[in-house]
Amino acid sequence: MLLVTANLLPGDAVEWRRGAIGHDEPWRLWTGQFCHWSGLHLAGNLAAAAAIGVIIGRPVRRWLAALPLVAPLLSLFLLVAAPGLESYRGLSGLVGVLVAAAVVEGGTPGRLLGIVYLGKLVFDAATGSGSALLPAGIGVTWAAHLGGLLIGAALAVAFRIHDRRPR
Amino acid sequence: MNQTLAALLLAPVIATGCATWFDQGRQAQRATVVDYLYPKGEQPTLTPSTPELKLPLRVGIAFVPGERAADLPEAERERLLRKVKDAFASRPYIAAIEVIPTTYLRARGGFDNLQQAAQMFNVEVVALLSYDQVQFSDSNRLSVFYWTIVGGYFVNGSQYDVNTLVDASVFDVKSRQLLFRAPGSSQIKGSSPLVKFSEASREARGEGYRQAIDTLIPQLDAQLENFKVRVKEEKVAHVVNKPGYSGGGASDLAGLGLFGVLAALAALRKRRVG
Repeated sequence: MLLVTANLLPGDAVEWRRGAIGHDEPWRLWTGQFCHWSGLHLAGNLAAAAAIGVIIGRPVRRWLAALPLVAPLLSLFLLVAAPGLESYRGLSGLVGVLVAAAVVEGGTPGRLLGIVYLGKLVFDAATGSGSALLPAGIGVTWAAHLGGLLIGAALAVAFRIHDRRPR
Repeated sequence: MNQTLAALLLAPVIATGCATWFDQGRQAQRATVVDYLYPKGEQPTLTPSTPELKLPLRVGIAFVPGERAADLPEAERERLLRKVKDAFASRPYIAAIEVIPTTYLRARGGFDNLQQAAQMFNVEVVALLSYDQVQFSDSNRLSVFYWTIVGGYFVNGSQYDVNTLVDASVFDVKSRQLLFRAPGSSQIKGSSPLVKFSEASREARGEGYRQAIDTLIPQLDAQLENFKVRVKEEKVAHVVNKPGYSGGGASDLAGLGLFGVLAALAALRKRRVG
């Protein structure tokens, strides 16, 4: 629902925007993680999320259900971790959360994905490389991917504690 | 005797009047980037460097100062520049577009003058609009009615043909390199009675600029898209982010391929186990 709404509304009104979040537009904490720069950008991120869904299987449901809850945490992380970032759009920060889920629940393919994802993250941070899925002039925000992984790791710990709790 | 004297006195006046009435010819106004940036005819220096573009860019836009600046009034120049500015202002990789009035540029000022203006307006890239407008004026067959005097007020016996070329050259100020360029052109033909000819042709010259700018904008847009492709594929410029940049969360195509391969692997494993 949030994903559909964020991508139907004008991007300028829903994107993560540093100046606007503190000025009576808190919805951007949620919508900024779900809106996109283009249809191609959206399709790429949905394809990545779908692939992780296949890797994890049924347990992905609770991770997907948690995404709207962790989206504002990721937005707050960006405020601190990327001080030069003025505006941001894209689901891939939350895809980073799902990558953490794949490491925990996706067996060997999931762990392999985690290793490669981490390597790519380091490469992006070092080179500032772009993506063919993004319009020209929009850089890959690797800090969002890092934030997604960290939040995903924290969420994995929370799920583990919850699962071990006696019923 | 008096009549002969009056005729002799009036003859040169009438002859001069006719010459003025049927003034035909060519009127041109131009300002070129080469004259402005290389006033002494020096050769552009060929330094094999790659311009560094820090996104989002602050862009300046200005008309090249010509020798006859009064031909295109400053207010009209600014209106035309704002039109170009409005067409490109919403791009995410452009932080701001500043209109630089021609009064801030010096005719034949060279790159030093361009850098001064760029620093004054705090821009890194400047789009310079050069122009070349030629107006041809002729009398048509109806001009014979001008001999009736009244015809000069009501008969469209004078015609004009205004050809305008506007060219936008986008320069990286620091490296002094031309990033890309785009042309726009227009042709306006019309006629008017003799007494209104000056006003009508002046309006046509103004309209010529407006139409040329209208054709320039889509051309500039196309060249900008082409430049973005060249930055990606040919690395004609090095792009870096600076504070205030826009970002996106996205994988690249190789990453998506990996996601797909691992998903297929996982699906195969599950089928084998199941």
